[in-house]
Formats: sequence, C-alpha cells, structure tokens
Amino acid sequence: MAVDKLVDSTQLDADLTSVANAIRTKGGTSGQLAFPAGFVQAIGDISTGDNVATWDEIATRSFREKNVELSDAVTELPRNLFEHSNIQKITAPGVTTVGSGVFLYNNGITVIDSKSFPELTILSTSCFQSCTTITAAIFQKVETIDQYSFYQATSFTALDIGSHSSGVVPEADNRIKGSNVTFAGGCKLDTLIIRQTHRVMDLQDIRNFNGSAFNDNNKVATLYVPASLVSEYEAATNWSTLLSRTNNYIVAIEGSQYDGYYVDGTPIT
Amino acid sequence: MIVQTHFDVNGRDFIRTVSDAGRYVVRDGISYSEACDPAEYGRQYTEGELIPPEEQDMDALTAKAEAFDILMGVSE
Repeated sequence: MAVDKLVDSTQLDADLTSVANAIRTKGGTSGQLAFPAGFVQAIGDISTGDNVATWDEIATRSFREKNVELSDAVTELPRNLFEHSNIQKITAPGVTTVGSGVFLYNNGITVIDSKSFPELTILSTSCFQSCTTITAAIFQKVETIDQYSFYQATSFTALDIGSHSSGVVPEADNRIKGSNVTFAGGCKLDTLIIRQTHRVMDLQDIRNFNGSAFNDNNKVATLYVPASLVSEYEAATNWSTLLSRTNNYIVAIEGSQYDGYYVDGTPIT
Repeated sequence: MIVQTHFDVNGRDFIRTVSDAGRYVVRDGISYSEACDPAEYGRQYTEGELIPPEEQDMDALTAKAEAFDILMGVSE
C-alpha cells in the first residue's frame, strides 16, 4: 500500500550543492548563483511518484532519514512504526491516532512542534517511551495521555497538550492514565500546559509524576491551565496534592494558543 | 476493601484512598488507581474494576520480577 513520501533533507541539500557546483564549473565562476523566476515552482511541480512508500519502507528508511513528511490523507500511524529510528522531525497533519510505542527508543527527535501532529487526540501507550532526545512537545487537540507515554524520556521537560477538540475521545478517557509510569523513569517534566476549557483533566494517579520536577521539592514545576479552571484544579483529586508540594505552581494561561511558550529562548509555534 | 490513610503535605492533611484488592477507586464515575484529596473534603470512594497488570505499580512489578529471577536462579 502506497501511503506517502519521505524527504531526506540532508541528502537533498547535498544534491543541490552538487548541482550548483556543476553549474559554476560549466560557467567558469565561483560566485553566487541566481536561479530564474519560477525555478522553485517548477521544482515543486515535479511528481513525487518515486518517493511513494509503504509502511515497511518508511519504517526501514526511518533509520537513515532525518525528516518525515506525511500527507493529509494519512490518519493513523501503526504501532512501533518509528521504534529505534533516528528521525529528527515529523510532519503529520492528518494523523489522529498513533499506535503504541510509535517513537519508542527514537534517538533523534528533540521537539514536536504544533505543526507535527495538529489533529492527534491520544498520546498512546509508550508513544515516546525511552525517546532520550525529546525535550518538548506541543499538541493542539490531545485529550488522553496514556501510560508510559514519556516514561524514561530522560530529556523531556515540557508538554503542551492544546485545547479540547471535537469530543472524539470519550469523556471518561479525558485523563492522564497510568499508575506511576507516565512521566516517571527519569522524565524531567517541569512544565505542563493543559488548555482545554470544558473540564479538569483527570489524573488517574499522582505517582505518574514520580521522579519529575513535579515530585521533587528542590525543583520548580508549573502547571498552566485556563484561568476559569484554576480553582477547580486546586481542589481536584490528585491535582490538589501535587499542587500543594513545595515549588509546584499553577498559573493561568494568558494570551492566545501557543503564545508565551519558549524552549531555550526560541518560541515554538 | 477501600483503604484510607492520612499524610501531610506542607502542613496540610491529605487522605490517600486505594483498594487493597487491586481495584480502581471510583468517585463520580471517575476511576483512580490512587486518589489523594485534602482531608477536609471528606471524599468517599467505591471499588471499581480490577486494575490491569500493565497499569499496576511498576515498583511492585519490578520486585516480583526480581523475586522470580532469584527463584529461577537467574540472579541472587
């Protein structure tokens, strides 16, 4: 089954440089090349038929590819698709669900930005487990965070799950699942942003934050929620305990979606 | 059976509610594997479904695995 294409940007850059060098040699110059108007458009119009791949091909190529781009037509990623892969960036604008362990042991992704998975509603079991390079993730419509999703993600510090979507996920699953594993095992989470305004997201077990900054009195951790829900979070089961710990804070979200969130001084959009 | 124990967080009294039968504890239709609340709220829970093994306490599972290895002579 043909599903989409992969783009190896590193190889593409090298190929384009080779072409430019050949043109310079022919022209007897070492100067900057000026491409004619419409050149970029013409490149963009070239058929991508040779890049059409199957899931197996994508999984195999993900060990050497750095950048995966999927079309709107792809709505689901199979379980363990990118397990042990080295991909660094993914764009999946149509994906609503991912199988368990989809990025398990990935060693390349550092940031999932808001354009990576704009339609995703469930962070599946072990989806980023043991992904040691990921530091932050921004989603727009996530309503369920399943167990082990960031377990042993040892560089992970910040998660923005976006706002409530269309109610695809049953109300009972609008929660952080798991007993003591979701953000545990060395996960360094210190910033959690929950933008949904219709209700408090349930926390199945406070021990899901074991080992993170939320469970370390010596580290500052912050939960961002809509202003209308601050008092409800402060009284909610498990959240109330978490927020009573030293150096844990709750802050009302200000501004429009995704405003005000930065990693190392660089805004993530 | 529902088991409730008190604990302190920064001088505030909290109650931890669990099931000694490995079940979820349920309140207002919401299931928790462990529920912690400020004591003054007086929240009450009932027992729900059994917690699946994959959602049980990892420390306990690890201890069981280590005990199994010792019994099988894999480690000491």
